[in-house]
Amino acid sequence: MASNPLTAPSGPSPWGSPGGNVVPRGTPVMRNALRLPQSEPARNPMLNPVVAAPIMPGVQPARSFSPEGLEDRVPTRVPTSAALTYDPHEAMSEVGRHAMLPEHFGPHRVKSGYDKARQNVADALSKNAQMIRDDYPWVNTHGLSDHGVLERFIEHNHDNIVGLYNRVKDEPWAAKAAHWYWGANRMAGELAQRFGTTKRQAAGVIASLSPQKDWDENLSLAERVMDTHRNRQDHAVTPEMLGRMQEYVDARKEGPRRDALAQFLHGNAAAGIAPITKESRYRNLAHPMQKALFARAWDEMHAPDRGFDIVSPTGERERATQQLKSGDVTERTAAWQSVDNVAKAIRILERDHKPTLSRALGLAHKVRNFYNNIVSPDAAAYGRPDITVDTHAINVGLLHPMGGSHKLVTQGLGQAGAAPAFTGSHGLYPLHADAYRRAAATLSRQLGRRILPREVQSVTWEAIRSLFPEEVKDIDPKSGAYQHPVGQTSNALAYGVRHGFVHPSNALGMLINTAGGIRPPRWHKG
Amino acid sequence: MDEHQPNWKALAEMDPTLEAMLMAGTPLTREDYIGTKYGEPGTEDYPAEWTREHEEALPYPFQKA
Repeated sequence: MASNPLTAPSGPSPWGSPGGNVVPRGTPVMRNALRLPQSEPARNPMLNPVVAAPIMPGVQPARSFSPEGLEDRVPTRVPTSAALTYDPHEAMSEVGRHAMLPEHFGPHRVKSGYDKARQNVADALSKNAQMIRDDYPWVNTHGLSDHGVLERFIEHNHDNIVGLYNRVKDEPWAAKAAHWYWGANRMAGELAQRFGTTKRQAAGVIASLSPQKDWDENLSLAERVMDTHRNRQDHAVTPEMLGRMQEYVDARKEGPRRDALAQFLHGNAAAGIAPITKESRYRNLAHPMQKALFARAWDEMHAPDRGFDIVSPTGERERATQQLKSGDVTERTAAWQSVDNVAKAIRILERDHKPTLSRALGLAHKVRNFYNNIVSPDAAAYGRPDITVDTHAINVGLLHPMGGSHKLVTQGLGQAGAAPAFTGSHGLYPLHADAYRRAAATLSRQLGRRILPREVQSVTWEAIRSLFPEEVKDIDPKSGAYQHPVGQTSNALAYGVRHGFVHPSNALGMLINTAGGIRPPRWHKG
Repeated sequence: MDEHQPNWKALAEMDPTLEAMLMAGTPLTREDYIGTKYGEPGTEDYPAEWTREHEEALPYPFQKA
């Protein structure tokens, strides 16, 4: 049998043994042989950073993306139908236009009644498309199908987002604003370290306490709840706290509404809940609602400091103050969250368990995306483009100065359209989210570097808050017409662009001129 | 069970107010939910202005269509 030249002995060993797979010393190198490049010595990442850019706290270099927190993300839409064939907290469903389409809704998703469910999704699509045709007259939907209307809506928002981003991308504050979520991630890490939790628990606490709160107040409340959970486990309830808890209960109307909260204070034997008494300690309270009552009452009755800080994306702090009508400047006080949102935060702190965390975050797309953006800021670089859309983010896309109760904001994020039970997709949020994703893709192509959707959102978010302060959002309650010149201009320009009287590239500049320019964020020290 | 009705159990897992209402036998209506969560108008926690965020925070069966 012919020997295999690759395995046959190659001759006498230079070490004297008879043969072996060893190339003798002095063997000439074959001409034209492939030479592998010499590998570099292993780097110590602590001593030799891969990117030579200056390192800023909470800031990632532009071209370096981290997979941190990918495994801690939660689904950003949660269907709640009893007919589902799967646990929506285990599936990683994402909010986007695809979730609004009946053709995306397969029969494998429900145990029974598929035709009815699919029709429900199709009806919701038609309803949302018609809502856009009726209420967004400056979005040109003439002659378009339902699917075409959704596409045009995304494109309209996309154009405005790209325009505003390009206007402010070179401002001195924009680089920090682009990494806002890394700053939030770092703060979640600091809270986790201080209070002995995981980072995802800290991020979950922040997100669950975010509804109706500015970031700075939100962060302060997270700190207070985590402090109580960590450091007051053996504290007893004081008479002052009991009195305060009774005030919470008394704010409810006599009857079943009051009973729902009173059972946590006075006990509910059938549910195994003991009453809260002066002997009760935090650790012995059975239900997160009881612990939430404790945390809030302790803070309101005994906390030495109820003020809070303004926190920049890179972690610099300064005291939050307000100017009174008298001209005096005083420290602002952190107003508490509703007891049930505090209970959600405590549920997250009690158990580091992702399905528990996912449930505690609730159904709102914004809260769920906010959590994901904090816990895994670069997830979009790994195919998970979470995007936090709030009132300001909608104002960027529509380029209208709208407050939280404006009809279009209400439609955009909340309850307009149906079928959430099967798809978990609420209103026009999926379209706003897709507009940011598309804007990020466009800007990445234009600027030649990868830009993530959450970067686009946080930069334009700071810009729009400056462009549209609260006072320009006033509308006439009867007609819905804007009362401030900036609002009136934005509306007129939108119509002008729609009907071809104003070139889109000029509209934004005219609006910025009317508003007197875009000022830096309050945290920026220029 | 009608599988196309709201799954109250699944919703209550995500919402302590709803869980409390189910435990206390509070009627599952929009008004009762708001009254349980925020108290009565004019009290401390009741929103001075009802915004989109408040609406969005309601369980979807209670949101205005």
